[in-house]
Amino acid sequence: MTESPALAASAPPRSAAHKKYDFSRKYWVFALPAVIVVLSVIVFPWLFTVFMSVHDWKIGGGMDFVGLGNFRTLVFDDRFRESLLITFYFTVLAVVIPIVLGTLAALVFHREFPFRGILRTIFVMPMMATPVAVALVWKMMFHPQLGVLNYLLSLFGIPPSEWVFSTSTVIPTLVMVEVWHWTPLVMLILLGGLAGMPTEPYESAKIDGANSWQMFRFITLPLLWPYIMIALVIRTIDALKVFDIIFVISEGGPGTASETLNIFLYLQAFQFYKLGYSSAVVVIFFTIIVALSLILLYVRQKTKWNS
Amino acid sequence: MTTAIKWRSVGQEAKLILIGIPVALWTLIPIYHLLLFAISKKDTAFSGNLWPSHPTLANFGTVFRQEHYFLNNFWLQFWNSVFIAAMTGALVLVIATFAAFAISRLKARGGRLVMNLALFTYFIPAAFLAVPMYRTMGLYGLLNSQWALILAMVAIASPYAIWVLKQASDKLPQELDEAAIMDGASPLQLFRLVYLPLMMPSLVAIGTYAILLAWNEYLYAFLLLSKDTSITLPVALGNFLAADDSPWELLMTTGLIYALPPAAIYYAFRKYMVSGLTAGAVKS
Repeated sequence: MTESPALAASAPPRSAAHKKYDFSRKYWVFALPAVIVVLSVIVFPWLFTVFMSVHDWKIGGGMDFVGLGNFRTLVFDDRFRESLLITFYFTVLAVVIPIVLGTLAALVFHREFPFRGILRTIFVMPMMATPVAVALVWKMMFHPQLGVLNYLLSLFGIPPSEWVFSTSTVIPTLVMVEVWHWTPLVMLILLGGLAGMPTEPYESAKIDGANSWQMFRFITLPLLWPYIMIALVIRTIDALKVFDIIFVISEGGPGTASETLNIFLYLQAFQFYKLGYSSAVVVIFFTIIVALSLILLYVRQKTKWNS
Repeated sequence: MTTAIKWRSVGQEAKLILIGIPVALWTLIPIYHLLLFAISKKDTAFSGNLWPSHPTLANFGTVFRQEHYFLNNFWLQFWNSVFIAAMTGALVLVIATFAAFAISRLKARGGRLVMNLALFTYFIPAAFLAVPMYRTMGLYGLLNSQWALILAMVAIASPYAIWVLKQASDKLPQELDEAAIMDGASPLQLFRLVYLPLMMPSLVAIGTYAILLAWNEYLYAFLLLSKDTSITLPVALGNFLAADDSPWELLMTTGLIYALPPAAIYYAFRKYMVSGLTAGAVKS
C-alpha cells in the first residue's frame, strides 16, 4: 500500500491489524462504480470537449478541423467579454450581500428573544424552495403592471421600478432574488460557528468595559472568521453556477444585459449551434478553474482550515 | 438593580423582534404570493387584495385532472421527476458510499487524486458541462431517455457526495475497524456492519442532497429531454411560462405543487442538512 507522503502523514499510524490483513486486493470492487461513472460521464465528455473545441461543429451538420480558430475568434468577441464583466458584477454582488446580511441575521438569531424559533424557521424557508418555482414567482412579482412589487413600492410613495425589464436594473434585481434565496444558508453556517463559541472572552471583555461594537469587532468577528470564509467559498461557487434563475426570469436579457457566462455558453451552443466555439470557451475556463482550485488547495493545506 | 437589568433586556428583546419581523415578512412575500395565486380564481389575484375575496381550491382540481392543454401530461411529468430524483439519490448513495469507504477506510491507492478531482468537479458550473454532456448522451443514444438525465445528475452529484462522505468517514475512530478486522470481518462485513450504521446521518444528508439536486434540475432536463411525455416538472413549468397566454393561476398552482415535495423532504431532514453538508468544510 504505497501512498503519497502527505496522505500518509495525515492518516493515523497504520496498526498491526491493517498490516496483517491487507485489503489492497479487495478494495477495488468498492471503487468500481465511482470509476465507471467518472470515466464515462466526466472524463470522456471532457476529452470530447477538447476535441470539439478545435473543430467547427454544428448540430446536424458535419465538422471541420479549425485548429485554434475558435480560440482566436473568442479573443475578439465583444459579447464574450461583456459576459465576463456581467458574470463578475453579478458574482460580487451575489456573494458580498448575502455574506453581510447573513452575518447580521446570524447575530440577531443567535440571541434569545420571544418568537425567535418561528421567525427563524420562516427566514430559512427560501432555502427549501426549488429554483424554477422561485424564478416563476419572482417573475410574476416583477410584472410591470400586475406585479406585487410595484404595488408595494406605491404604498410607500416610491415610483414603480422596471426590475428585470431595464438593462440598468436587471442584474441588481436578479441579485435580489439570489439574496432572498441564499442568505439563510450563510446565516445557518454562521449560527453553527456562533454556537460553538466560548463565553469567557466576552465576560472578561465586559469586565474591562468593552462596548458591544468592540466585542463584535475584536472577539466575535475573529472567532467567526473561519466560518465566514467557508460561507464565502460556498457562495462564490454557487453564484458562479447560477443558471436557472437568470434563464427563467430574464433569459439573459434585455438584450444581453444579464447574459452571464453560463447563459452565454448555453446560447452559443444551443441557440446559435456553435458547439465548437462554446467548447473552446469551456476549455479556457476549465484551465482557469484548474488553476484556481490548485491555488485553493494549496492555501487550504497551508492554512489547515480543513486538515 | 435587578429590575433595571430586566427592563434593559426587555428593550433588547423588543429591538431584536423589531428586526426579526420585517425580515420574516420580506421572506414571506414570494411564498405568500405563490399561495395567493394558487387559491385565487382566474384574473382575481391581480386585484391587489391581501386575501382573495373567494378563495378556492379549484385550481388544484384543474391541475390534478389535467384540464388544460399545458397540463395534459402533468401526472406523467410528476412521475418523471419522482423517478429521476429517486434513481439519482440511490445511485449517488451507492457510488459515493463505496468510493468514500474505499478511500477513507481501506486507504485505496490514488484516493488523494480522486478527492482532489472530486473537489475540482464540484467547482465547475453545470452549464459548462452542458455541451459535452449533450453530445455524449447523443453518442450513447440516450437522448430523450430518462437515464440520460439520471446519469448526468449522478455525474454532477457524485463528486461532492464522495468528498463529503470521505470527510465524514475520516472522523470515525479507526479502532472500530481494527477490532472488526481482528474478529475476522471481511471488507464487505466491515462495510455493512460497522461503516454503514455509523455513517447514517451523513448518508441521509447526501441522499437528500442528490434527490433535491435532481428534482430541482432545469438546464439538463431541458436539454436532454424534449418530448412532452418525457420531460420533468420544472421543464414543463418553463415551457408553460414561455407561452404568452399562460394562465398565471394554473402556473402558480403547478409551481406550488412542484415546490412542496422538496420542501417537505428538506424540512424532514433539516437537522442533517447543514451540519452534514458543511461537515467537510468545517474543522471540528
